[in-house]
Amino acid sequence: MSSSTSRAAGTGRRVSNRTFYLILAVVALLVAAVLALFASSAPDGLEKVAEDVGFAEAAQDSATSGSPLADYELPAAATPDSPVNRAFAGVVGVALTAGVAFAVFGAVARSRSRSAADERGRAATEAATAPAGSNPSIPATPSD
Amino acid sequence: MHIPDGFIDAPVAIAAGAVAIGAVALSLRGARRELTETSAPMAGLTAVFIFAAQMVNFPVAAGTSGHLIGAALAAILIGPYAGVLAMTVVLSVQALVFADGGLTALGLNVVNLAVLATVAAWWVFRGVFRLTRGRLVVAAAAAGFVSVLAAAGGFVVEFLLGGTVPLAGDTVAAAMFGVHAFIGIGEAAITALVVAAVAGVRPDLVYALRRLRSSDPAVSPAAAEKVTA
Repeated sequence: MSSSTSRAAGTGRRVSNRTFYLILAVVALLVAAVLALFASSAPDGLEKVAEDVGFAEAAQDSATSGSPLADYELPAAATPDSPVNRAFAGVVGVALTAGVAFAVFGAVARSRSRSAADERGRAATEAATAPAGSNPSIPATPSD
Repeated sequence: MHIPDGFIDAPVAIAAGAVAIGAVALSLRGARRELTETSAPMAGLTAVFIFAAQMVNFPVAAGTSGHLIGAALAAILIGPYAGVLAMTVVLSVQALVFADGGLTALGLNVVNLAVLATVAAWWVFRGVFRLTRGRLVVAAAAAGFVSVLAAAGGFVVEFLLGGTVPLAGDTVAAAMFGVHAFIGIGEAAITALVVAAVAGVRPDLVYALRRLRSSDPAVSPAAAEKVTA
């Protein structure tokens, strides 16, 4: 692993933020719309345990089981689980997740820069009100 | 391993919901220290990638499948607090729009897959990264493996406290850990692969490398050598 890190650092060529994020988005879309079509339909770990141990019967339909995209299919379509419909459901899911996630992390990033600005403001006020000669923002000897 | 409605009784599901809300509130504060000006899109895209990857069930032993959880991936790429948020976003979209995981069980699923898995992954990652003097892929694989067992352990405890079918706890525990040890191998492989790919192209966008290589004197000299070599 360290070799690939070294290689990336050594070449000096850097993939731009925009290119990198675009690649990540395209990969996610391909995984959801294409690779997911080849997913195993066997019960997952918890479902298998529930069947084997004997509590699978307790499962109830979710209140959202009537959703137009329930189970990553289009239940209202003539062929709910056709590859095209499943790919569509995957793309919609990616778009929805992106919308919610960008809203959440955008809000976190904004609150971060706001609190950073507050701290800078406080520091400036303290510096301005401190008596001359004891200004903490100007150390007598450079610390580094 | 999304819990459907009906497996766990209401009191335990409600208690898990309260824990989940507390954890998300804490993570909203904590994530402010993890995000940089340029890494907010990375956090969003990590959530998107995890949603997509969770759709791909891979076969494991004996008529069983598993899929990536992604908690370890999130903790390493964007930080544990941001990771809890990313996982919670994914689980919420799944429960609300795709009926994947129960609605009353959303709190249980957030506790297991977003909180326990992410926190366990981060602790294990940090420990192994230091022990191996910065072996990113080894630490990522270990974190992925343990994250699945942590989530399975969460379910076992919840089932003991509020399972709707009276069953011996040790039977459920043995079955859960047995199956999820296999799924954990898949989680370890995918986590290591994706972390290595991102670190190979843009190591500066990997939270764990920014955090652990700069702050830990036990790791940073060796890591600095590797980066500048």
